[in-house]
Amino acid sequence: MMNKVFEQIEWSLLTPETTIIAGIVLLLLTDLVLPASISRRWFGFIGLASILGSLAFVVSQLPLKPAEILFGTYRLDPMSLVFKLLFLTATALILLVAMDRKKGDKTDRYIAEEYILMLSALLGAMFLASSVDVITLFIGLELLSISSYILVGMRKHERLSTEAGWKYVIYGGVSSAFFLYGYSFLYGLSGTTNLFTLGQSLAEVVQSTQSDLFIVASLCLMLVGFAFKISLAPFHMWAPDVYQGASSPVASFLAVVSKAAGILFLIRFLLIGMYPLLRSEVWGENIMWALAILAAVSMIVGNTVALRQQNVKRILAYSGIAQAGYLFIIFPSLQSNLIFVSVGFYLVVYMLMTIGAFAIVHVVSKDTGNEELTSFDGLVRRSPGLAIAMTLFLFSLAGIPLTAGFIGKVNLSLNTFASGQMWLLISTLLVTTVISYYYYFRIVQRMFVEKATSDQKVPISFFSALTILVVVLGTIGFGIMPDLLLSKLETVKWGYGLIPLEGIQQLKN
Amino acid sequence: MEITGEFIAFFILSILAICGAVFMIFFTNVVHMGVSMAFTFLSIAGIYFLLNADFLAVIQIMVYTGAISILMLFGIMMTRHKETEEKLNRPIHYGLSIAGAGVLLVSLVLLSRGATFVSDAVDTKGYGIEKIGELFFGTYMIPFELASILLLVALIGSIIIAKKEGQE
Repeated sequence: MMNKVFEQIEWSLLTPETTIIAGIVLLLLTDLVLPASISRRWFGFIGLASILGSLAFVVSQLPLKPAEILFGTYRLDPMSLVFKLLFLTATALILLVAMDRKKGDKTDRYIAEEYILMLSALLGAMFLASSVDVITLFIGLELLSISSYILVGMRKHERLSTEAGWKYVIYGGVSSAFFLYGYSFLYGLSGTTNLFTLGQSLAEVVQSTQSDLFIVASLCLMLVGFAFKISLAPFHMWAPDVYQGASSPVASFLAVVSKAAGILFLIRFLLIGMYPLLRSEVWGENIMWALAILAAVSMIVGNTVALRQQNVKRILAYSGIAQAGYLFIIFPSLQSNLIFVSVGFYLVVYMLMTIGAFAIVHVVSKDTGNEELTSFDGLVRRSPGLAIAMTLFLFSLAGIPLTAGFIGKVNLSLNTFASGQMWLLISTLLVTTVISYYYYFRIVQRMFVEKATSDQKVPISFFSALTILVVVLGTIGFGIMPDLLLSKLETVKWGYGLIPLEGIQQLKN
Repeated sequence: MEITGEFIAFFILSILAICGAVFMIFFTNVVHMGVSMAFTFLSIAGIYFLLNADFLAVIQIMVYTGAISILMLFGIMMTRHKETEEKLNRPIHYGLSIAGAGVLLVSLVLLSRGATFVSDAVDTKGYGIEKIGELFFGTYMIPFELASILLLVALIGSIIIAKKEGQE
C-alpha cells in the first residue's frame, strides 16, 4: 500500500531544489577529484549554473497549480514561488560578486566549500519558502543558519571573522532554542506541527477557554527567534559584528536572503497558524503592540547608532536593521491584503540596493584592504562609475525620490496608513528617515569631497561590474516605473499561500 | 494527588536534572561542570523512559550522556589552560538575568495553570520505534532527507574550522 502512495506523489515538484542539491554534489566531487594544483576559481560557474537551472525549473512551474506533497511538508503555491524567485536571483547576483577575488587570496583554499555553503544556505531558504509544516520550516531555517555560521567564520586568518562566527553561532543557537521552546507550548495545546491544523485547533481553544494569554506567551518566545533572524532591535546585536567579520558577499547574503526567509516564515506563521487570533481582542491588545514596538525600536536604534559608526559595513548593518523596521510597520495591521504587494515590492527593492551597496564595498575594500569610511575617500576621482552607482544605492536606501527605495517606502507607509491605526509608527518612520540622511550622506561626502589617497582606478572584474549594472538598472527602473513590478505583484494570488488546498479548489469552482 | 512509583521516580529524576543544571552554572571547576551536566542529561533520559519514549531515551543516553559529555571532557583536557574559571564580578548582569529568568518562570507557571489543554492525555504505549520509523520514512520524509544535507553541511563546516592551516 505504501508503494502506491509513494508513486502518487508528484516528485517533479521538487525539481528546483534537487537542481541545487545536484550542484552541491557536483561541486563536492569536482573538488575531490581535481588535483590541488589546478585553480578552483571557475567553480563559481558550477554554482551559477545550478542556480540558473533551478530558476528555469521554477519558471517552468508557471502557470502555477498549487500542490502539496506529504501533508504540507512540501508545498508549492504562489507565495513560495515568488519568494523562491527572489532567493534565487539574489544568490545568483551575490555569487557573481563573490567570484571577484583578489589574486592569491587566502580564502582560495576553501573556495569550493564557500560556494557549496552558499548553495546549501539557499537550499534551506527554498525549503523554508515551500512548506507549511513546522518541522520542515525549522530544518530549512537551521540549514540556512548553520551554513551561514560557517560562511561567516570560515575566513580563519582574520580575527574579526572568527569572532563574528562565534557570536553568530551562540546568538543563533539561543534564538533557535527560544523558537522551539515557544512552539513546544503550542504543540502541547494542539498536538500538531502542520500550520493549518494548528490554526484550527487554536480556533477551538480561543473559543472555548481562556488560554489566550498562554498562546500570546508562546508567540512572544517565538518572536524572539524571528526577530533575531530578521535582525530587529532589540535582538540585533549580532548583526554589525557579523557583517563586519564576514566577507561582503556573505554579509549581503545574510542581509537579503536570510532576512527575507525570516519574514516569509513569520508571515506564514502569523497568518496561518495564528489566524484565529487575528480577529480576537488578544491581537489588538498584545501582539499588535509587541510587533509595533519591535518596528519602532528597530527604526530608532538602527538609524541613531549608525550615526557613530566608522566602518561602512557596520553602517550598512545598522541601516539593514532600520530597513527591517520600516518593513515591519505593516505587520501590526496585517488584515489588509495589500500588504503582500508592498512587502514583496520592498523586499525586491531592498535586495537590489543592498546587494549593490555591498558589491561596491567588496570591490573597494579589495583594493584598499579595509572597509573604513576613509577607504571611500575621493572615489569619484578614481572610479566615477562606482562612486555614482554607490550614491544611487545610498539614495535608494535613504528613500530619496526617483529611486526604487522611495517608492517602496511610500508604498509601505500608504498601506499602513490605509489600515488607519498606526500613525505613530509612520511618524517614527518619517523622523528616523530624516536622521538616516546624515550617515548616508556622510559616505557620499567622503566619495565626492575628500581627497583621494591614490589616483589609480579601482580594479573591478567583469562579473562584479555586471552585477552592479543589473542592480543599478533595477534601482532606477523600479524607481521611475514602479508599475512594471507592482502590476506583476498585484496579479499574484497571495491568498492561495494562506489557505489549505481544498480551500483553493473551492475558490476556483 | 496519588503517590505512585511513577510519581516518585519522576520526582527524583527531575530533582537530579534541576540540581545538575544549577550546579553546572555555579561550579567553577570545568570538569565538575561537565560531570554535573552529564547528570542532567542522564536524568532527562530517565524521564523519557517514564514517558514510554524508549527510543528517545536510548538516543539521549548515547548522544548526550555518552558522546557530548565525553567530548566535552576531552575538549577540556586537551585545551586546558586554567582548571578553574575566575568568577566574573558583574552584579548588575547577575541581578538582571536572575530577575528576568524569575519573571519568565512565574509568568509561564501562572499562564500554563490558567490554560486548559483541549487534547486528551494520549496513551503513549504504542509509540515505539516502529511508529518513529513510519513517520520518518512516511509523512516526514522530506524534512528527514533535508536533515541529511544539514549534517553534510555541518561536517564540511567542522572540517573547515578545525583543519590546521599548513604552510604553503
